[in-house]
Amino acid sequence: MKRVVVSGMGVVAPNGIGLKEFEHSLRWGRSGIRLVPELKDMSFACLVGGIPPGINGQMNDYFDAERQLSINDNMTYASVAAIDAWRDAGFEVPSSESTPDWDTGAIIGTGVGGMETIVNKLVPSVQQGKIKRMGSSIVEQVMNSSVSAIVGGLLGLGNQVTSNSSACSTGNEAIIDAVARIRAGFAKRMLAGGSEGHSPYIWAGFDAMRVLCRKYNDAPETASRPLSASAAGFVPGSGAGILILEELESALERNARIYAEIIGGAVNCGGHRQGGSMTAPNPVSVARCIKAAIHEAGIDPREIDAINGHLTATFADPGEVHNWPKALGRGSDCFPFINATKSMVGHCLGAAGAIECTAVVLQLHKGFLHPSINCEDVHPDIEEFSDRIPRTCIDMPDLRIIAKAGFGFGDVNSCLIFKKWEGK
Amino acid sequence: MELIKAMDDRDIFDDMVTIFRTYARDKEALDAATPDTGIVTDLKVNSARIVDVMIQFEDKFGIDIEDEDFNKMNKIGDAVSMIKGKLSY
Repeated sequence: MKRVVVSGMGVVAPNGIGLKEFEHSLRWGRSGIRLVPELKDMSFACLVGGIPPGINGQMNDYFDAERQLSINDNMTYASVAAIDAWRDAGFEVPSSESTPDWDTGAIIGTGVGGMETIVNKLVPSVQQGKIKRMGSSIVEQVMNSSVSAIVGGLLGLGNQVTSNSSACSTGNEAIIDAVARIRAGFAKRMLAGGSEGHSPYIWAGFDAMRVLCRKYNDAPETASRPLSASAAGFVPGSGAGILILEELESALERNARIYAEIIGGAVNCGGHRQGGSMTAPNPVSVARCIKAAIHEAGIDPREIDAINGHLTATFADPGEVHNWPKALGRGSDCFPFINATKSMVGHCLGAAGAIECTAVVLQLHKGFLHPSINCEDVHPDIEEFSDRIPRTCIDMPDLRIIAKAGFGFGDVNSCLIFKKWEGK
Repeated sequence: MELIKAMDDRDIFDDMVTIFRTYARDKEALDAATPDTGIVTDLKVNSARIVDVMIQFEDKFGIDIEDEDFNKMNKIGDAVSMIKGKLSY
């Protein structure tokens, strides 16, 4: 079976656009959570969110004038991350006259998708009887595959181009499915990841469920508090993360810079049984998923140096932490480090896993573990793991293996095992 | 309105070129455009975007473009004639 490596990355995150800014924010524990004034106007309880800063000034670097009229934020984030990743991998953006790249495809998912287009354009036009005035680009903005479709066109991709959706597990799942496609020999390279826009209409349903944080509106940067005793719900986020996954032989042949190897991955579903439901994970299935990823990786669980958790800052965090010792066979006396990228970017929904996988690969490649911020008061149920949670950035040159988990509505789970590339 | 009705072919043509600037993929063909220039064939306007161009024509010239007009516009000159005809009513 073919080995699959990460040879490029692009990220559009609330605390940084591009790898350099994102890494800087991760190292220094810089939050991208801000007050979102329109949420107050709309009577949300949660008034904070994670929105990528300053992308509008760069639109001409990525899109011609016609494209700019036919894309929404979700498509913009996916495209910027994809083009950055493509260039980071050493490729040039091809001309519109080029032959399709038959060996390269994309699996780029989204959780909710083009909600802003539906709310701001589609619904008002239809309700006012102005169908004729909607223009040509509504379908391409609201179809589930909008984010992969636009990337396929921008980069001239000729292999499979599709979008998956598995709620908050979407980004991880896209990467796992893309790895499988390369391993099976159907593609040499895949762009893989997830994207999500930042419409209040995406976030409103979560606010109604009372799962969004509503206690820290006056201190937005402290609002996302995974692992903390004073966590008060998740902070909604947005953005995109894209990895260039490549067959090892291909990457070596073109002398590409290799960040990491993906040595294992698994997805499953708890079937809404054994304590699982539409909105809560079946702990048995979580443990099975983690074990399956480790089994595929062919490693001893003791080799895992760190865990990048799903860890959203809801009541579910302690349960998630306690699932890991069961899956790894490692108690608090020999537990890996564990951190939560969401503490700085919020929960980016369909983009969450992909943005967080970008953080994982950066940490492996550069040899550091980013702090998990806002958990000075670790939750009492996981006090025994407190010293395994980085509160400041840890330089760790010998960091080799990180496990990345993600869980989503629908009782779906995903787990990836990343290994630092050490030249063989 | 009288001023708009007095527009000659050249004025309409120039306004169209401005609108096509966003949609024409072949900018050189647009720079050298004549009434005989094909909208899709020469300017390489994505055929799906013709409806967006028509909406901009409607707004610019204050007219309604019907489906039968839509299907006749292959060249820029076709569009100029159609718009001039509507403005003369």
